[in-house]
Amino acid sequence: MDELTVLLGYFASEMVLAIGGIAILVINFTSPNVKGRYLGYLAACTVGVSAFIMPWQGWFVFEAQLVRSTLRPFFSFCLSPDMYATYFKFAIAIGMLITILASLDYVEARLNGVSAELYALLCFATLSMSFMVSAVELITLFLAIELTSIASYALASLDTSNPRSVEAGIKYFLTGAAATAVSLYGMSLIYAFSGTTNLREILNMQTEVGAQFPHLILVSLIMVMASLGFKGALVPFHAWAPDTYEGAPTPVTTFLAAASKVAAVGLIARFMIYGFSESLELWRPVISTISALTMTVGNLFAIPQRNIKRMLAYSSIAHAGYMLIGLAAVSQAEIDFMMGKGLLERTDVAMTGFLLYALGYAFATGGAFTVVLAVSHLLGTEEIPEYDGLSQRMPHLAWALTIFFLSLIGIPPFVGFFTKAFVFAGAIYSGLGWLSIVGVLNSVVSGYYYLNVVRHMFLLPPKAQSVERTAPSTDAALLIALLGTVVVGLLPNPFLQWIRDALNGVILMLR
Amino acid sequence: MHYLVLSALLFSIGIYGVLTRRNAIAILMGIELMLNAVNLNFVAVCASLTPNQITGQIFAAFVIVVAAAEACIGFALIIAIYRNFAKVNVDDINIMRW
Repeated sequence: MDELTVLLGYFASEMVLAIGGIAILVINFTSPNVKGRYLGYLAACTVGVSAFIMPWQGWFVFEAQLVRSTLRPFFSFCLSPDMYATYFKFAIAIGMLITILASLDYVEARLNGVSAELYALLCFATLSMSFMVSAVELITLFLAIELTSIASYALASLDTSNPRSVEAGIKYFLTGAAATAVSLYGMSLIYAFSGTTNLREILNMQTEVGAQFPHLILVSLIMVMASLGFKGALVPFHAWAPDTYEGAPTPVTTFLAAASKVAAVGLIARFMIYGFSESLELWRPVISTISALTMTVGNLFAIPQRNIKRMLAYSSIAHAGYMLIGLAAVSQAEIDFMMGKGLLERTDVAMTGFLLYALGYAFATGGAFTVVLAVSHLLGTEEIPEYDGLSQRMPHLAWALTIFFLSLIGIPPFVGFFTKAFVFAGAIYSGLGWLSIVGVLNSVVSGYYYLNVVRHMFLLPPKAQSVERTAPSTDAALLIALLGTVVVGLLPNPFLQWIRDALNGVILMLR
Repeated sequence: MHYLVLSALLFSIGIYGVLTRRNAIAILMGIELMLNAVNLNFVAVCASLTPNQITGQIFAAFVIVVAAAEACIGFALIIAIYRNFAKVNVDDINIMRW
């Protein structure tokens, strides 16, 4: 294989995304009469193609590694297009595909003037999130986070004539910019004690530095967590999330919940394990505390909400907390496995659960927001009491939302059950039993507000009788999300095998 | 070493500004101070610790570029805020509450 083939193979999906995003802008610029809807189709194709080629891209990288066992420095070891990255890129691209398909009608009705910008920014955001999960170097990591953030600020405030959207944007921007500055200071501390920005070299420096100044490592890690936690809306960096989720245009909320959060947790796990696994015992308490707080705060604040977007905002905060259980419970054997040494035991399930959770969450949350978008477009409401009797007016939406909510609560046979089972089991095996107890209690609490919506949809009489039809694109988005939620739950084995390869492939890159 | 102390001071002033100011533009200025403290840190560490590498300086250059991009979108947002609310005080921009 020559240089160009390898490069194309490693970064095929990223190239598709970049070309698609630029094409949307160029088409809008040269022929402004093209309908926003067609630009939406183009964006959906772009993201869909990149999601479709992602598994193959992962295997291509894996095979190329096995054959050649060393890698020439692509971009000076700044990006690692390994299987871990492609797994997360797949989850992100699927989340984005559901987002774009679900929002076609909504955008045409309410955001028609800015549809080109919306779709192009969504493509670029997918691209930058791909960079986020493949970054193995502080500069790349910072740039990828900023690229995603800047696209998200613009997206959140895209509806500039609507004060709520602008308010969502400015709150998101001010907290985000401050969090970035804090985490940059943390990065400069890391650079100060290690003299390098490469995560691999930072890892090698750690035993030595850790013996001298353990607190320096801890302080800088907590500072860097400010911006990572901000992107993932982890408590205590979550204050922006409810307002931004409620005020931003609903397609943007879907993107923030289904894709941006997945990218953030993927980045956090890689950063912690790739760059700081030598200080595992230092950051394990930090991550478990953040995880417990995030779950509890998210679930408790979701209970009194009447706006379904705001409720789902708190619910997505809570789910980031569950995912972090998997990272907090990572065992030494798993780290060794990811470093290319040793094998996984039957009890090393924490990271497997973490990765599966990210995918299952993207499907279920993307699906739930698809229903919210459809209801908001057809009935013009986002208040939970207005969902009364939805099962009689639009039964397929009501049933789909019920399935997504059951998956989010963690009820078998949907994927949410297996993901929660894995992370809770991983926590118990790693001696973090208290964390899994907190998690189980939180799941019980979350049942209340999810099932409350189901009660509104099925048990209460409808407030109006009109029956609306959903668009084919919405049905397609629902179908993808349902397939993901049900099939990954019923047949998890191929996905578990993929996750195993992904974990094994993390460090293969820089061996 | 003096540079690190200076940058820590600058960073603290920036954080103080961000936390106490209620004018969105003043908050942005505080954030710029924090970013400049970071730049100072990177350049100082780079010059004293690894004099024959320029990683820190490259990082500082990227921070400057990204800060400019961020300021662009920040001021665009502040203009949009002003058009909608006729003020830029963040305490008054509060339609959404639960």
